[in-house]
Amino acid sequence: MSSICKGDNSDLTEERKNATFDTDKMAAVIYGREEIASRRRQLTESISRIHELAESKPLVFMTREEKIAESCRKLEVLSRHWNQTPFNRDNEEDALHIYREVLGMEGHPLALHDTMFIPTLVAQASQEQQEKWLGRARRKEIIGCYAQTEMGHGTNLRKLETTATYSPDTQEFILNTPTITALKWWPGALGKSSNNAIVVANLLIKDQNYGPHPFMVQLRDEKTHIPLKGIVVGDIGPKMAFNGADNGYLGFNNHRIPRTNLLMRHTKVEANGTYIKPSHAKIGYSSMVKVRSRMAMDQGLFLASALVIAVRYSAVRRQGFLEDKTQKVKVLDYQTQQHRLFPSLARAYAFIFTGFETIHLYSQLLKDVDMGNTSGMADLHALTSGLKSVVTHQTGEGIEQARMACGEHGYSMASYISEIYGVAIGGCTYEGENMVMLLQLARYLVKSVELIKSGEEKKLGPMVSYLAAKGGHPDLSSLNGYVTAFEHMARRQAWKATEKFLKLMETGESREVAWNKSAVELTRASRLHTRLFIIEAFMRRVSRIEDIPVKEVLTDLLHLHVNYELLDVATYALEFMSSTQLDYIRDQLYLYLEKIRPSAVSLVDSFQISDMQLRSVLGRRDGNVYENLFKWAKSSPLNKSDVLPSVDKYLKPMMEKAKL
Amino acid sequence: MVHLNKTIQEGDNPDLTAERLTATFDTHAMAAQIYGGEMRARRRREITAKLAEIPELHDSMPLPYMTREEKIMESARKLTVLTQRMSEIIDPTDAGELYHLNNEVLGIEGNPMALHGVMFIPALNAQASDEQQAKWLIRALRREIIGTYAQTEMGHGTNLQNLETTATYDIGTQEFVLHTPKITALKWWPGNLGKSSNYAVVVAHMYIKGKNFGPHTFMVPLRDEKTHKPLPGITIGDIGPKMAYNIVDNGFLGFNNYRIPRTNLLMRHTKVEADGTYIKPPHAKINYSAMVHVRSYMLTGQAIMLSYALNIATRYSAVRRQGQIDKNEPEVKVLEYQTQQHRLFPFIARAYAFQFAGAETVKLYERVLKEMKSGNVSLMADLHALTSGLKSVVTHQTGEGIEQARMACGGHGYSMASYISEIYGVAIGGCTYEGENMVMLLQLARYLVKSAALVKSGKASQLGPLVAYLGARSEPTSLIDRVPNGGITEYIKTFQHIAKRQTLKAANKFFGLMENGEKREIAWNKSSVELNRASRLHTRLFIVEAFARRVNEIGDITIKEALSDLLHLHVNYELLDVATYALEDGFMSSTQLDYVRDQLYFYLQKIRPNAVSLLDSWEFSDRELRSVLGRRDGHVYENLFKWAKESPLNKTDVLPSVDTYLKPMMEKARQSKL
Repeated sequence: MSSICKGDNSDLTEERKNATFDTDKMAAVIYGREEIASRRRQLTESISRIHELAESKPLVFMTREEKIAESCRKLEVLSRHWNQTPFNRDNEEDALHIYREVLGMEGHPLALHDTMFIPTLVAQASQEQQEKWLGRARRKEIIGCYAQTEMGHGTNLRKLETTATYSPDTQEFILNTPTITALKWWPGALGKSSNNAIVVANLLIKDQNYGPHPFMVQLRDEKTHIPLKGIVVGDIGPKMAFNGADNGYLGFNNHRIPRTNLLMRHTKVEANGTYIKPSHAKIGYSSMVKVRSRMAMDQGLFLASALVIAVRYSAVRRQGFLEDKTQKVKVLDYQTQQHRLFPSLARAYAFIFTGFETIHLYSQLLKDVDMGNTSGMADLHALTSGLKSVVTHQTGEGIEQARMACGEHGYSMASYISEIYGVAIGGCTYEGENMVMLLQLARYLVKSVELIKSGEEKKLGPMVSYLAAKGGHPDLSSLNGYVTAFEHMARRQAWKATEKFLKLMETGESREVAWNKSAVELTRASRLHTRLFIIEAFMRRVSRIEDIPVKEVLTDLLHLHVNYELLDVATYALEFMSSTQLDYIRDQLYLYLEKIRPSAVSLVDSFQISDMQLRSVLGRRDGNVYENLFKWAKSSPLNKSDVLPSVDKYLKPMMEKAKL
Repeated sequence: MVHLNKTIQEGDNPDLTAERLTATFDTHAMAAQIYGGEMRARRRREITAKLAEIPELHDSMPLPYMTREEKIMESARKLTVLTQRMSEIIDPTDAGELYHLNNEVLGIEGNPMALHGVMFIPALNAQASDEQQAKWLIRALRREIIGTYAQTEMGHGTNLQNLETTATYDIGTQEFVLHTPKITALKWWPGNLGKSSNYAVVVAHMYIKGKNFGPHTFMVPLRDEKTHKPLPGITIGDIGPKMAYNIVDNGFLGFNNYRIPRTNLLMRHTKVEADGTYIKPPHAKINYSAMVHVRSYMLTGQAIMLSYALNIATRYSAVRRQGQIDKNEPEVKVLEYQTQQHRLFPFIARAYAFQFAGAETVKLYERVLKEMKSGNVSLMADLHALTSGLKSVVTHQTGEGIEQARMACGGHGYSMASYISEIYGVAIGGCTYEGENMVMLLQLARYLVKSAALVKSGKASQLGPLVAYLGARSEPTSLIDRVPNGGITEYIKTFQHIAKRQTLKAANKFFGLMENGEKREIAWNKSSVELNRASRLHTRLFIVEAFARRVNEIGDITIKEALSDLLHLHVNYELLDVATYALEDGFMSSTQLDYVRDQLYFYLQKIRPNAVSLLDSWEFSDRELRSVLGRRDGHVYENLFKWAKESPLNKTDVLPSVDTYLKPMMEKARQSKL
C-alpha cells in the first residue's frame, strides 16, 4: 500500500518523498512480521470492496441508537462474508483488524460475546455444559456477555453483593441483588443486546458463603427478547465515549436458575448441596495479565491513530512565516509543534514494541505454568500492572496534545481525535484503576527491596535485579548510559519509598496506615520502574532490526525517546547527574526533533491505518482536507433544514414580539 | 442548629454530613472571599433561590440524553422565558449576575444567543458610528435581530492579515461586494453563525480601486428577517458536531459577490466616502484591550469549571467506600487514600489560586484602562503579555485537573451521569480559542526576551513591575527549609530564581543563535520550546504570588488559616513539579527537595477535614452542577439508578436494532442448525 497517489495534496506528497525507508518494511516491524502486515493490507483492501460495509454516514452524526443500529447492520453483513476469502473468523488478529476497520472503536453489540462470553464458557463450563451452550454461542444463536462489576463495587471480587442461594428442594439457585449497590453495573452489551450472561455471584449453600462463582443466566426470552420475570435489565446511559456499546445494569429479584447453570469445570455443587472444591484453588493472574499485555499495544495504536491525523494535518496546514516571506510555512516546521508530536510518536512505537514483548513473555510463561512453574507469572503480573497504568496515562496525554496541535479544527468531531481520546482514556480506569495498578507493582517492588535488605538478592526476578546493582555516573554518549541513568533513578526511588514505608511501621504505624502514607512516593517508584522497562524494550526491539534504513530512523526515534523521557523525570536524576549533562540532554532533544522532521509523515504512514478506520477528515491519506471539511459540515445533521425548528418555534416569535 | 458549613441539610447522606461537620470555617464567609465580597456571594444565593422557584427555567431532562437539536430547542425555549423574566431575577446590567444566571439556567454548553451579548453588541458599541448605532444597536438590544461576530476562516486562525474574505467597493452602486474566493476563505467557527443569527459583523479585507486597505468590519444581513431563510449570495450553515459546546451552532459563511450598502462598513473609526475616499482611523495602533479583557475573564471562568469537577469528585469520594485500611473497620471512604488526596487537593488549591489571580488581573485591567484614558498606554503591553501566559497555563492545568477529578470517580466518572467529561470538553476548548496556547506562551516570551535584553544592557530600571525580579539579585541558595513555619516568601524567592534563570537562559540561546548567523525567525523557532518553558515559569510565579497576596489581605482568622494551608499545599506541590529547574544549578539541595515532599504530604493530611467544605464554599447548586455523582445530598446510588432507567435507550425493552438485525440473525442460526 504505497501512500503516494495521484491527486494527493502536494504538501503531503513532498513529505512522503523525503522518506528514507520503505513504509511497508516499517509496517512489518510495527506489526511483528511481514506476513501480518501484508495480511492487514489485504484485508483492508477486501473490505473496501464490499460496499455494504461502508459507513452509511459519519458515526459522529449519529445518535447512540443510530450507532448501535449501524453496528448491527454491519454485523449482519459481516456474518454473510465471514467464510469467504480472505476472511478467517478463527484468526483472532484478523477479526480484530476487521472489527477496527468496519465497526470502529466505539464498541458494538457483540463486543463482549467473542472476547468474554465464549472464552469464559471455554475456561469454566464443564464438557457437558459446553456441549449445551458453546456451539449455540459460536453460531450466534444466543448473544452473551460477562457480568461481574456492581454499582457499588469495582473489581474487588470479595465485596460483590449479588447472591446465588442454593435451594436443595428444587435444585435451583436463587439469584438476588439485595441492595441498589448490588446491581450489576457497566458490563458491555448487557443492557440491550445480550440474551444470556455469565453472572458472577456469591454462592450460598445452607448459610455458608463459598465466595464468588460464575453462573450461566438467561436474561431475555429467546423469541421476543423481552427480559424474563425477576430480571431488571437496561442500559446505564450515555458515557464519555464508547457509546456504540450498551453497557448495562442487571438486578435479580429471586430469579431462579437450575443447579446445572453453575459453571462446573472446576467447582461442583451436587443435588444435595454438597460443594466440591476446585482441585487447585489458585485461579491465577493469567487472564488479567493477558488483557493488560494486549492493552499496551492497543493503546499504542490509539495514540498512533491520533498522531497520523495530527502529523498529516500539520503538513497540510500553513500558518505564519519563517525565513521565506512569500510562503506561509507548514505548522509542522515549528519546533513547538514538533515537540508536541514527535515525543508521542516515539512513545507510540515504544508502546507497541513493549506490548509485543509482553505478549511474547506471557506466552513463554504459559508454557512454564504448564510445566508447573508459576513463579514468573507474579513478576509479569506486577510488570503489566505498571505498564497498563503508565501507557494509558501517557497515551491520553499524547492524544490530547495531538488534538490541540490541530488547532480549532482538532476540536471539531471532523478530526475524530476527541472520540479516540474518549475511548483510549477509559483504559485508565477499566481493567484496574491506574492508582491501584501502580500500587500493585509497588507491592512487588517493596518485596524486592526487602529481599535485598535481607541479603536474599539472588531471589530477585530478572526484571528487578537492577535494584541490587551499584550505580555509577551515567555516560550519556551511548544509549546504555541512559539506561544506567534510568536504573539509578528507579532504584533510588524504589529504595526511598520502601524506606519511608518501613520507617513508618517502625515508628508504630500499622502496616496499612504506613502503606497509605507512603502511597504517592510508592507510585512514583512504580512509574520510574515501568518507564525504564519501556525504554529497554524499545532498545531491544531496535537492536534486532536488520533493514538498515528502518533501523536508522528507529534509532533516531529511540534517541528522541530517551532524551525526552530523561528530561521529563530529571528531578530524580539531578543528584547524580550534572547540570551540564542536563543541558546536553536538552540539546540532544532539539537535535533529534529536527532529525525526525523529514521522516515524520512516513513514520505515521507506516502504521497503515486506512481512511475507513481512521474516520477523520483532517487525517485523510490524500491530505485534501479543506474541501472535505466543507463537505462533511454541509452534510451534518443541523444542516438538514435551512431553518431549525427551534428558530421557528422560539427565536422567530421572540424577535417578532420585540419589533412590536 | 447552625453549622459552620451552611450546606448541611437533614436527610443528607451521613458520610457527607460528617465531612461538613469538621469544617473549621464558615462556608458563607469563604464564598465571600471567592466571589469578591459578601454582597456578591449573597446575590448568587438569592438568584439560585429565585431560580429554584421557576420550573420553566429548569432542564426538562438531563442534557446528556439530548441530541444537539434537542439541546438547542431546550436552550431556545429557556432563552425566550429569560427574555421575559430576566429583570425579576437579576440586574441585567451586572455582568457577574448575568454570568451566574447563565450558568444555572443555560449551563456551560452554550446557547443560541451566546455571541449576541458578548461579541455582537460590543462590536457595534465599539465600532459603529452614532448613526449606525441608532439604526442597529437598539434593535439588537431589544432582540429584534440576533447577531454574531464572524472573523476566523477555515484556513486562517486569528491572524487578521491572512484573512481571505474581501469587500470590494463598487463606486457605481456605492456598495461593497463581499466575496469568499475559495474554500479556505469561508468564515468558519463563529458561534451562533450557523443557524441562529440573522446578522453578523463580518471582518473582511477592504479593497477600493484595487488597493487593499486591510481588514475592516461590516454589518451584514444573513437571513431574511421574516422567513429566516439565508439571503441569495450567502452560503451558511452549522460546522457540525464538536468535542463539546454543542448547543452552540458554530457556523460557516461564504459570500458569492454579495452586495451590502457602503454605509454597512462600521464607521466609528474609519470611513469610506461615496466616491471611494478612505479616511484613516486617528490612531492606527493595535488595540490589545479587547483581548486582554476576554483573557482576564477566562481565568475565573476556568476556575469555576475546575471547581465544578472537584466538587463532584470530592463529594463522591466522601460517599464512595472501597477497600480497608484497618481490617476490623468497614470499607473506607476513598477520600482517605493519599493517592486520592494527591489527585484532588493540589487542584483545589489551583482552583482558588486561579480565581484569585483572575480577580487580580481583572482589577489590574480596569486600572490600566483608566490610565489609558489619561494617556498612559505602556502598562497595557505588560498586562497583555501576562494574560497571554495566564490564559495558557490556567487552561492547561484546568484541563489536567478536571480529568484527574473524573478519574478519581473511577468507573462512574466515565458515565455522563458524572457530567465531568462534558465540563472537560468545554473547559479544554480554552487551550485553543482566544489564542492557541503555544502562540500565547511565545507572545509572553517575546516580552520576557525584551526584558532580558534590558537586563543584559544594564537597563534593569526600565523593567515593568511584573518583571522587575528579572533584574534583581537573587540569593545564592534557597532558604525554604530554614524559615520556621514554611515561609512563603522563601518559596516565592525560589520561584523567582528559577523563572529568572530560565528566562535568561532561553534568551541567551536565542541571542546566541543569532550571533552564530541564524536569521531572527529561525533562531526564535529553534529556541521556542525553551522560551515556552520560561513563559510557564514566569506565569506560575505570578499565580503563586497572587495567591499569597490574596491570603495576606484576609482578616477573618478561620478563613485565613484554611486558605494558608491551601497556599502551603500549593507552593510545595508547584515547586516539586518544577524542581528540576531549582536543582540543576544547586539553588535547592536534595535535602530541601525531601523537605518539600514531606511538607506536601503533611498539607494533604491537614486539608483533609476541610476538603468538602472548601468546595461547598463555591456554592454551586445541583441545578448548576448537573451531576448525579456531585449531588449536594450525597444520595448518589439511588439517583444513579434512576438516571440510568430514564436514559434514551431504555424507552423500550427491545431496541429496534435488535428487532431488525440481531433477532433475525439469531433465528437464522437456530434454523440453519436444524
